[in-house]
Amino acid sequence: MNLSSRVLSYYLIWSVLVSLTIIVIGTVEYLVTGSSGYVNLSLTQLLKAGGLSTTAFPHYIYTIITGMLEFKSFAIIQFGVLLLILSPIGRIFLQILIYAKERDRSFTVIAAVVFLILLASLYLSKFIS
Amino acid sequence: MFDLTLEYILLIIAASVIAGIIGSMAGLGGGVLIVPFLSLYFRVPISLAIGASIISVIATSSGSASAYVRDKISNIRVGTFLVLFTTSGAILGAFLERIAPRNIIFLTFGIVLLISVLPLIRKIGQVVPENVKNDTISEKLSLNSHFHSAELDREVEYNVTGTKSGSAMMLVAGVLSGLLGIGSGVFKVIAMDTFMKLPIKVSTTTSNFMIGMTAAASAGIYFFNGDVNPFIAAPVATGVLIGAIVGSRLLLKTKSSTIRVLFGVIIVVVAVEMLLNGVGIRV
Repeated sequence: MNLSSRVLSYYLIWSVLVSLTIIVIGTVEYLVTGSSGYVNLSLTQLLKAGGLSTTAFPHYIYTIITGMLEFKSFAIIQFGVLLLILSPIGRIFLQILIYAKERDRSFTVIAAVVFLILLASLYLSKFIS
Repeated sequence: MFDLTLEYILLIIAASVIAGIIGSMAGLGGGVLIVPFLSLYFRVPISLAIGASIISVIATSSGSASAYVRDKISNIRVGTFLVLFTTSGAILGAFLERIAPRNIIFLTFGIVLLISVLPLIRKIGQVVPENVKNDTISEKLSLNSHFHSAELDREVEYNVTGTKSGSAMMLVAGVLSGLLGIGSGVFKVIAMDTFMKLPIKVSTTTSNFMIGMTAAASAGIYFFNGDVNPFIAAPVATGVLIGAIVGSRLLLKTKSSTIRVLFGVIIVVVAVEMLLNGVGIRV
């Protein structure tokens, strides 16, 4: 197996394991303490909680980080989920580096354009929502 | 009360493991299974179910792609090239969401899917398509490749054709994923199988490699909107990741014809879901 697919494969498995570990830590904390760290809801309400103004869990980077610093279980889970969402963007960035190292010009450009599209989508998500 | 919480979490994990196994083998994100499960069984609002499904897509992709990349079954060059079109389509789809007539779109693509089962079934038994010549684009970008087929017990060389029509189809798949939240993986596999004439295992595993990036293009919108509920997302991500890792091990040993049948069944399920949505029954 060549180096580039080995590097990519390692990245894929490690990014998964790291986010999974964080999510599991948050879930175990939630189950053991019985506290989400946020507003207390019944199970039925919890399954319906969401939306821009929800107080049941954090959904901005800032509130997730501050919640994590207070060891709130739902903030920890959201951090793991956010890492999972961002992992494909890291993957394409890694591909740019690999193709550049292999001096594969057309694919360096293709991967770079995909990377920019994904960044643009994150930026645009503010305006679309 | 506490026991019920654990029970709910374990139930969602169990359903997600199944979605992860099927998704990783059929080249899709498992949203087709997760969305109806959450909304019908747990009465989760549709926006939250779709938010969970986006997480499921990324988890399937990352979980299975590590094995597929290592075993060199997925064609990373084809995947990366086509992702250009799915991600731009996904952004376009997210913008169109407010103005698009969703019912008509659901109905149209439900019917398109049902029709596209036919060429798929015709090819049952085929492991590698024969007499395929590289087209100009795939020649230029060296998209053709090879993989080790366990069922033929040999290295299989294959060419790539229909890159243009395949790319156009990927744009449509991207728009759909941004617009409807489901069905994007299914159209990717169909495009690679029917237009680009890739071997079925290469199509499903390359689709798996791609769906994570397509979903990432619209995931931010759902996440920052508060549509990713951690109580649902945590067991979904955990279960799907486990399922995807198991499924990607299973795929190597599974016959191509079995993958084709599995995929055919999934297409019908997705088509029915789309048609139901089209006539106003949300599942």
